[in-house]
Amino acid sequence: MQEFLASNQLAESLKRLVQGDANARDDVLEYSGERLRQLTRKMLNDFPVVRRWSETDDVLQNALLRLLNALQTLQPANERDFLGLAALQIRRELIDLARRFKGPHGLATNHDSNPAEDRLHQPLTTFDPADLAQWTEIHEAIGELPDAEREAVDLIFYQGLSQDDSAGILGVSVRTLQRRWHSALVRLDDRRTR
Amino acid sequence: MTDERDDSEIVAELLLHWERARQGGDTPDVDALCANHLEFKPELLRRIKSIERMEGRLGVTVSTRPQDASDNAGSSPPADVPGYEIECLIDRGGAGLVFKAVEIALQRTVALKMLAHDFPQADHLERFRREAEAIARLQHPNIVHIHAIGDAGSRPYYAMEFIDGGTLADQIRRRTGSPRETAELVSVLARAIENAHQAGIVHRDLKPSNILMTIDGTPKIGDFGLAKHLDVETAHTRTGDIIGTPAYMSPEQAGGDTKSTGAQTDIHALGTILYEMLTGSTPFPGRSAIHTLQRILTEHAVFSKRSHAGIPQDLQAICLKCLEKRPQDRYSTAADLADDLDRFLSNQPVTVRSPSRLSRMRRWVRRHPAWSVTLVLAVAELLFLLSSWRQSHAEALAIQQRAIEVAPQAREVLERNCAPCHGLKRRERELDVLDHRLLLDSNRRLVVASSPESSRLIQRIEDGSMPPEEDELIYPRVSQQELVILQDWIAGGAPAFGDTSSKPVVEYSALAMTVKQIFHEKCYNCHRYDVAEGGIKILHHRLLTDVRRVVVPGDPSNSELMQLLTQQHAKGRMPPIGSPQLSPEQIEDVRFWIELGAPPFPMGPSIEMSNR
Repeated sequence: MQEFLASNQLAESLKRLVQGDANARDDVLEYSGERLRQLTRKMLNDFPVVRRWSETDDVLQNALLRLLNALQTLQPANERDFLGLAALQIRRELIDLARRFKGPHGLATNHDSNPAEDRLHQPLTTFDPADLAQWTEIHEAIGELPDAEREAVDLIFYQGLSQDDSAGILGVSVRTLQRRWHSALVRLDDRRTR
Repeated sequence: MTDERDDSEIVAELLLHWERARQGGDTPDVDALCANHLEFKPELLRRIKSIERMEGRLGVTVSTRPQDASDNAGSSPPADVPGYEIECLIDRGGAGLVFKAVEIALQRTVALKMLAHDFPQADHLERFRREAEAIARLQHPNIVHIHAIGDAGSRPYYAMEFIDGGTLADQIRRRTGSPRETAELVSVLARAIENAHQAGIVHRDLKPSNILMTIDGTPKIGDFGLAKHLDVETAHTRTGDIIGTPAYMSPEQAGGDTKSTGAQTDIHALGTILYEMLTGSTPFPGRSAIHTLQRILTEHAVFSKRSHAGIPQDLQAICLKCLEKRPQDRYSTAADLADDLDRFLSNQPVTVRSPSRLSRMRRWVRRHPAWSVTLVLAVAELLFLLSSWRQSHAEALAIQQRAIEVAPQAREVLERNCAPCHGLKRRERELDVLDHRLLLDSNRRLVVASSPESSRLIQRIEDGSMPPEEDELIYPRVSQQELVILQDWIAGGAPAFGDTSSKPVVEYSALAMTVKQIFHEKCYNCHRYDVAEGGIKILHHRLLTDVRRVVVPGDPSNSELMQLLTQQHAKGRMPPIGSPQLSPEQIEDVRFWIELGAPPFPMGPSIEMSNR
């Protein structure tokens, strides 16, 4: 991530994007694509049932297409806005995906393992609709956090940034960032156990 | 209240101490932390538990330092690959690296492909093995040959023949080939890819840079990283490649329909390569990746009559057959494509059209120009008259049929928008809109069968007076979709409602509700029904989409509303500078709402913006 953020090329591309250079969109996506892929994989790792139906990179491709579409119209003024937008697209894609799979008529119903992975000596995993529902709820709940807390979660969770980097991007102290992070997690957990 | 906030602040402060301790590698001592604030210990413990639980669920390991150094680790070869001597890195992409190496026992140069990381992710590993297995199953002179598969430490690798004549992409950059040379080469590629298809493997990423050329000009297909087994359900895609090189994607790939990718996907790619070799450009060059994708999805490939005049018609027809939008309209197999190319090369008629018949007709027209014109005109006129009659008859039937189909939906629209005031429970003006007889009462002229424009119901909806504007925060304006249903129903004679519709005309959209909230919060003061006058009434959905067209459903970039919201200059910006602005997320919500087709605002008051 350091490499991603420290990349002069990314900063340069974002600058060009802000100045209205349409070609900069592709560059920005290229630089951030790898990071976004890691995130999606990380988030899907716990859900083999989802991976069975829609591979990590398919999810990411959709998220990137959404992001590309968003960048057609919106011009993020800085890294902070761009990373926020990217997190938003991933969140939406994952929520959509989970909705498609869960429920009595979801695609995943009555399919309880991933045969391909069994062959690869992965632990046998069983589909638990409750997990998938909770997963959706977490992403939705993050979307409804107060702005300051949601930004902290976007950067630390969705973007995988360190607290230092996140605080730098938001222009706040690390302590403030940590406060927001704690508050967001407590709020999310309260909501989950409510 | 103040005390509560102070308490919460103290606990938050204690949490910061706890955070510092855990990040310093110590086990935080909660008792010590609370030494002076014992009363806060239960709350502190509760929050710590919450934080740890949520971090566990999210899989986040919190650190002030960058977390994922391992993500970027290891893009060098392992120190030792048994049996090989590595010379240099010759290519890298995605998760893989390709080295030039010497196989010591045979003293031959090979290309050694391996994963970039020492501890590869499971899906990288799976894809890599899939690729090795795919190529190993194929034995064809025009497909890169694998010599060996093995593991170097924790990294799998495979050794394949080393090909040093560059790629087809290099060749195209240097010059476009003659039509015959091009047909020969694509025919060879089609035979090779047919071999893969016969083995149950679809390449899915055919492009000139994946076709390696030997020194003597023999093409060899490589990079099966995206290959899919036809008999296996899962479909791997590699985003970097797809996003990076959309020019060679088929419409089914561009549309994200990975399940539909099959042998015809490769045939489309061969068509793209054929087109590029003939013209020097891919069929759908775009300003950006997304522009190219859009063109692939919506436009048909053509050859320019002027600049491509030198390309034989038969070859153009073969190429365009490969580039058909629907997979079933392309060649059924790569072998069929190769056969047609071979027919072209041996000057035989190709299957895509009948040149001999066309030639005969052309010759006849040249001999009898006057007759040709007269005949064409007469036939055209006859066809026109016939089709006009059939069309008007068919149209009348279709209008009636449509009315019967939408009648239950028309009932649903009336029930939702009008029945709250003019229904069974509340019969204002003695009207129950669900009473078909009352609705068609000729004295009231509410619904004049077959004449929507004379029907007062439609007039009142169109002039915005029904439902009453003052209720617009609760009852949204009738959307264009709903209005069309009513118009169609009336145009076809306003038949009986029939069964209750099972599916609402307008599905509830949480996003539309969010956008309604945003508009309510940020725009409504200046754009409410009684303030806006002739301007934009922000909650009037049909006004936005169809009357004033400031929102173009599905097309945010051409929506004036988006341009106003994202205007960089103070002049023309909405909301005006000085007023509360939309946050970037809210702007994105509006944009996404438009992209999804701007679904109508749901009924009901907009929910208070929760703690934002």
